[in-house]
Amino acid sequence: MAPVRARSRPYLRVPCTILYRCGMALVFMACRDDPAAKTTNNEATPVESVPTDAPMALTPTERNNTIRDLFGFPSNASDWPDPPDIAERFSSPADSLGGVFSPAVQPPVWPVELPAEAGVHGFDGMLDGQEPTAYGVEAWQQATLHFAPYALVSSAFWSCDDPSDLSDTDREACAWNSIQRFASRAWRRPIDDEERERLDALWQSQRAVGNIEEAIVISVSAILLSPRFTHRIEAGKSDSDTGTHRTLTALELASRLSYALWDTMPDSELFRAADSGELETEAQVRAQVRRMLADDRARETTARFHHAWLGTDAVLTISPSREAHAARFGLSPVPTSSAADCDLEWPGVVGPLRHALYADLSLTVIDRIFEGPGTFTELLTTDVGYRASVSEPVFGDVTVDEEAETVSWPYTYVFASSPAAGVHRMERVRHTGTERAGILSSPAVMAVGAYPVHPGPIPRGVNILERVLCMDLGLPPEGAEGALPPDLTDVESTNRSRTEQATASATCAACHDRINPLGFAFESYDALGAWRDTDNGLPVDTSVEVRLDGTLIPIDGAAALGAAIASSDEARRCYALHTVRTATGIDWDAFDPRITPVLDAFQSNDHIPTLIEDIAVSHIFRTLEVAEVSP
Amino acid sequence: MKPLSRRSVLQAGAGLALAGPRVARAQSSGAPKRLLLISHCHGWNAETWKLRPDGATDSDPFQLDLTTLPEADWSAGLAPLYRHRQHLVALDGLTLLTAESDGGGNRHDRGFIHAWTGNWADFSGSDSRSTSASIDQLVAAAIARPDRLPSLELSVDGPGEVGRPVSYAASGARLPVANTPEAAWTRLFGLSSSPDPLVLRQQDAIAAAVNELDILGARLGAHGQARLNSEARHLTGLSTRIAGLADLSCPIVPERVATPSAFDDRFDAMSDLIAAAFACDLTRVISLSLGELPTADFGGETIADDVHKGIAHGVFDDPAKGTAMANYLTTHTAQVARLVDLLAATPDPAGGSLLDHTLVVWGSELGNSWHGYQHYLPVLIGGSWAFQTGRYHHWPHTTPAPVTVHPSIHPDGEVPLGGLPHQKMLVSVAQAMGLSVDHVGIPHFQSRSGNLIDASGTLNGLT
Repeated sequence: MAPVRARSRPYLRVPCTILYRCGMALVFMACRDDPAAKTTNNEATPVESVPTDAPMALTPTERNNTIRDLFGFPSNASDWPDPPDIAERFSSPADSLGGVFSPAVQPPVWPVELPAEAGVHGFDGMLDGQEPTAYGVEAWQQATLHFAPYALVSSAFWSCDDPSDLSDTDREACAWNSIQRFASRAWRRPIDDEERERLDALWQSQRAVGNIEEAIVISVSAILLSPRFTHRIEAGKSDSDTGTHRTLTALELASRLSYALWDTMPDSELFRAADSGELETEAQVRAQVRRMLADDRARETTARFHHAWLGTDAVLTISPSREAHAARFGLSPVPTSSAADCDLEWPGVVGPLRHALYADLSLTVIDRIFEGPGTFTELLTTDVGYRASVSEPVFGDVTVDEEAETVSWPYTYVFASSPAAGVHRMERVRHTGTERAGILSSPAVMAVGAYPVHPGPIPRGVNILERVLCMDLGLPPEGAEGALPPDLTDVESTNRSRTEQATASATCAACHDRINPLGFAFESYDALGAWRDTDNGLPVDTSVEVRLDGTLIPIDGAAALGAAIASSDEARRCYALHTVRTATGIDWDAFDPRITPVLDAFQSNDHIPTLIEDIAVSHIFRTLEVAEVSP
Repeated sequence: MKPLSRRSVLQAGAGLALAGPRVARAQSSGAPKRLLLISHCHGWNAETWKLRPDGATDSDPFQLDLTTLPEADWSAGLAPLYRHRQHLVALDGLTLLTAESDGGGNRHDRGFIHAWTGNWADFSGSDSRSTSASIDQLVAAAIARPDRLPSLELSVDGPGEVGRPVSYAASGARLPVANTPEAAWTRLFGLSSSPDPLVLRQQDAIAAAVNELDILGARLGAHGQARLNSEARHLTGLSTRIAGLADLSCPIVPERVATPSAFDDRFDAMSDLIAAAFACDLTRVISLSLGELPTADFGGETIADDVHKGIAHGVFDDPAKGTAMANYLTTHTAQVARLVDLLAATPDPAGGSLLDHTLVVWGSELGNSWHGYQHYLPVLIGGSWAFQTGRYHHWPHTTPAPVTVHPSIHPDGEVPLGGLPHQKMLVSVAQAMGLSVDHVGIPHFQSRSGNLIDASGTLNGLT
């Protein structure tokens, strides 16, 4: 399992996202994305049409994964075969990265770096977040030139054994057959006659001016540049047209399933099921989903989903204050070398720590969904975690699960201008007592909701409201950031009292009465997510009243809050809503009756694998909304 | 620091005199604007760089008219640029404040990223990254010719170096550089001189993909069709660029030279290519990263053979090392002056000289060579369509943001006040190049003393 890199940096360092435009938020809270409101007011909610006439583009992760699987290469790029000599002709050997402060860095042959999508609600793979850009198109075109030569050394590409041993005529025939087969696999369905003619025209034109290898490289590049690779093209079964919808073909459904569950193309079994009519009934689809969920690829996709949901990709770029936190790791608050020199101690802790916190959340989610009860409640109340040696000071007292195997988690980071690599040995642990319960209080979530010195009750509260309860808070008012309490080590009161004071005005209170209590419940966790009983010498106060499902509930501490959220209808519906959105790529309104059955079911059964099955067999997943085609 | 006579002072706060501006405005023409970004290592030696009129202190805001300032009054660091005084805008009063607030990496890496992107660094992977594009890439995205290179990234390497990128893509990735004149020549003129037929044939793959997009788009509704059409346009633009570079007809093609061994010679060879690239409109945005000078090139070989740790870190402890780094900087100033000579002497096909339509931004990753971010002293050259040139601007360091310094400057190793966020210079540059932006990178941030610092908007008084 490869760690995923961060791209966003919410809440940290840029305080403009901290205080919220209260009046606007109240409006949204009352009438927009509140799943709980939906349960009591279905009929009054207008339903907007969802444009499904645009094909979904493959995300950067999906493109890389699909290339890997097309060539049949492993996920460890160092195990890829060397590229053939022809690859050199597309790259400039003089291009370099490095310098006096930085040793030369050669990017891995896979995955290639592709621009991140704009995304929607923090998720990529969303139709509304996929506008083509010049940079994105160029990056992909360059990627196709990078990958295309690998076809020559891929046994999955060639349709014949040992092509180098064949006569020129036989090799030519094999190459052309291989191109056709490759196109069918890359486009996830058999090519039709017209497509074959166009491919043949390209092939013949390339053979007319170059050798077989050159023609293969250009043809493979064209296949990978084609919208039939870069997009999921869906037309549906023409005989199923109802005027508004068509049922997806079996192969189209296979692609939807594989990209939703695995972030890659269908495997041979899924293709076989689609080809042999075994992807038609609800039972058949459910059986395939269960098979796919048992595959490691589903675990990677699931971990990625939860990081996007909770915004914890940003834990890879947290920048905690040495002065405030170094003592916990046995370091002095200030560097031991000259103040003007570079600090070479703290980055050596923070770099690996970021990855350890990221790995903890990934492994905990995977553990509880695939090895545990698989419920939303379990996710939000579990005492399971995964600890690396560097994160021991953050985790505090835990019980190590001696029967569980440690998990290796390789990571890289930049240390003193040089690439550094390591492997975390992640121990499965149980948090003792009630110090930590559920992923909402995991160190990664806590550290993302914090400033360099102090925890951030406002970003933590906003995180719960927007990501876990699906409330749209809008933007903070102009200048609100100026009211933020300074994030200093030398303070005279508690973090909670400073935050209350900063948001006490009537203008702010309308929103912050809702935001702050959710954040204050986590005040027992410092800016790195470590437990604390006191703040500035005073007892930490985590007693709050929070509104869930329309009811004001007294809560004391994060464990109690996690349990309350786990059983809340609006939280479960919100989680299901995010899952439906990312599975379909459509930014569904929470009140849309087309997704209501799925949300209703999850609200009652609480079971995440069942939620994924229910989505896969739902009408919205198995059908295509027919677009009005221009004449 | 060089004390100056009052007659050189243009506009002053704190009781200093006000005089009329001298503005060297380019003649209005249809000539394209160009951006050249130059980045050297180790910052400045402020004491041999700064200009101070008589009686003015670091606490006084003021402007100087460089066009009337006698050569004898120029500081040693700036003196090589005296002959280009009418084109200069020297900036004194900025600090890389956000780099001070950032964590991770080391101060050089953070400095490079903040200096040119204005944004936070990301050290979580195997290579240093930014969190947004550098200023040259922002400008290139706005002004690039579709049939030419959007931008060109170059470096002149120091001993043992293999290229030090200072440009960052929108994804945050460092952009690789052509680090020899040969590589730069190939990038610029290779396709048009001896194209590899296979490289040109990537157009066939693009054409095939565009055809598929057209066929498929016609079967979709308006939304889907618009999206695929957009992708097809971008791909067609790529093909146009490949064809444009292959069909290039340029009257000024420098001879392809073997990479010279001397840093100065490599710098001059790169300068020739930069002038040719602009004159042929091969690209409108270039970044030039200057690696570490060999010690012999600035008289430092008697101190150490390693600039970074042998000399640069000793500027506050050893006067000889301070002098050596001052000479290091002056050597760069002389190089930049020669490059500006070339831009001023090369006719622009649209009229005037290349310099008339070029903005040169010369900066670094540090304020001083002992890892300080304060007293960041960049220079703008050209850009006369947007800036009042021939000026030296000083703004006091009054921003309430603590800045790390050497203990010889302050026993606590920290001073409470920093200069203006350098992002304001990036905004001024962006607006000069036609971008409608009010911030580049970070718009505002909280300093380590808890103050909210506004990094948006332009520098006052440049236009």
